[in-house]
Amino acid sequence: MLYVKNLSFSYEKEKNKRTKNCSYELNNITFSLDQEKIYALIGSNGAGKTTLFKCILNMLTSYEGLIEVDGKDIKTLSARELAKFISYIPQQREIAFSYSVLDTILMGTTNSLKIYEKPKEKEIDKAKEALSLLGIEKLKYRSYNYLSGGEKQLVLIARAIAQNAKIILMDEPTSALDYYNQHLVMKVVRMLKEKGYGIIISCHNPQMVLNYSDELIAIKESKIVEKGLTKEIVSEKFIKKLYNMDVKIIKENEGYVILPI
Amino acid sequence: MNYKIKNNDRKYNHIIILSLFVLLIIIFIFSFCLGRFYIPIKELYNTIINHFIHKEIVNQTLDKIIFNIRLPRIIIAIMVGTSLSVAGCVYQGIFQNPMASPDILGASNGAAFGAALAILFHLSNTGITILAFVMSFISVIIVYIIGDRSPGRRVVNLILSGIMIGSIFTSLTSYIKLVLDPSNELPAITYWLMGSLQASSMNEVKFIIIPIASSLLILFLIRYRLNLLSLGDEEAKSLGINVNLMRLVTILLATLLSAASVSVSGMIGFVGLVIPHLARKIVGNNYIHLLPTSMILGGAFLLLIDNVSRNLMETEIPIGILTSLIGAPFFLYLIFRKEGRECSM
Repeated sequence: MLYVKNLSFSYEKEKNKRTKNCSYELNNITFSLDQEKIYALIGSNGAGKTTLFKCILNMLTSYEGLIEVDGKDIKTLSARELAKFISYIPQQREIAFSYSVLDTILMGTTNSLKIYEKPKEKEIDKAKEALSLLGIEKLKYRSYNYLSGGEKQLVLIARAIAQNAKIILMDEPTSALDYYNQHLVMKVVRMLKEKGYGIIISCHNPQMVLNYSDELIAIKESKIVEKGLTKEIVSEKFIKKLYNMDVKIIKENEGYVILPI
Repeated sequence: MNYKIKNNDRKYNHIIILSLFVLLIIIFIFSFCLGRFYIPIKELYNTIINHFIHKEIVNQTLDKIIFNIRLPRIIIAIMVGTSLSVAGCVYQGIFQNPMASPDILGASNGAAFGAALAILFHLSNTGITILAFVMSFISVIIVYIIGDRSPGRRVVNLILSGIMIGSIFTSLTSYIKLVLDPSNELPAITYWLMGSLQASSMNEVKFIIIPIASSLLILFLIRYRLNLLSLGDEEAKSLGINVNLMRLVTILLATLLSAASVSVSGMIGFVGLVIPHLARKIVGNNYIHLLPTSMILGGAFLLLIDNVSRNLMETEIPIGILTSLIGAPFFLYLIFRKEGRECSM
């Protein structure tokens, strides 16, 4: 579905095209995404995860390399066309002007509307479907800014479902959530995978990655250091390499616990 | 607005918008009656019937007052009020900032400088409007770039840079006042800066009706997308909006609205800040209902205030003075409210 080939990006170069020997935020990144899988994008702060997302969302366009979705170069797609393939779930935050949960989710359907159109019955049905899929119908008329962190994240996920794009990018979905909500959100993500979505999650927590993702892309200092099946990659040695930290990994039934030592 | 959005019911919002429109019509009718020369409603009715149906003018004085003096002024009051409040409403969304308004973004100060410059060079009314628009637009763009690029909190930066750019334009305007001819031009610009609808005539109506009506129409048609712009660039783009084009078009139209109104009415402050917030309180933040509510409320408000300014005292009070007197305390109220988790503010 999504194919990223030899992607390099430099903010210095974006500002000044003639710069040579500039530092790269992304250096020769290659990977591909399929449907029905959860990909974890991990790496320390400043490793280039956000920059990578921005490139995939066509917000940064002066990159070298190629990004294809469904066989089409994303540079040739309009924002509306791209939105039919890729949806983006930002970190939950307060917004300047709060809308009701239903209105927020309806915004996901914008790519099916003409420029002067507003959502009609068809779109409202789609939004309600997304609400009931996540079991949050009771939030329908609540104001977005007054929701708890976990509820906000669920609403943003519902918006992505209403957008109906096969690939979902999630920017640190669990970072601001409490323990219960972290797992609630990840369980919802797992359900989306079973519904056929391809999901890429940028994540800070290796334990979350180990327990919920199928494949992993690890970035360090703007380069991919490891990619492949999560369970094969994540080891005590790998964590040491990525975070420069000693840990012990304990397997318990189906899950893993990563203990710092 | 609290915890639950109670105003989500579409029917409720439609009733509100309809009743505000009825209110506007009532104020509209009574505005013809009120003034130094009081016209009873019956006389008003007779004169209008004679003018349009019988095609004859029975009472020349009444006919002249109604059609040549009060009608253009009423139309301009409604258009200016509508434009300023819609411009404010749109700016708030695009800049994701509850404090954004034509005054705060320096649009008015820029327009004032442009108008002063045009008066200095003895340009025509067209020249005044064009120059007011260009300066207004330049000012908004500078404020936006500084507010966006500078480090720190965007909301605060935008307001601070707006105040600073605004005062640069104000001092430039003051300098022009210094070199103007004190017998004719200086009173003209001074009075203009206070904001007044006194000089309204049909020529002015003809001049601003096309830019204002077309901007309002386009913004009205694309109003749903303003919701998405208010989420910020990244989210709007990922939801399928051509953010750069959309933002450029909406800023241009909002600036055209404020510049066109400032060019005929002078500086009328705070309408673009107070009315959109009042509308948000009534129908919520969704632009589908917010924009029409702001339009009607803005027109009705300025028409009402203009009636006060015409009738309160022997000599007419410039309307800008009144709107600032009402608007400034409301602005302070908003600043105090900011601390809470109030979502519309």
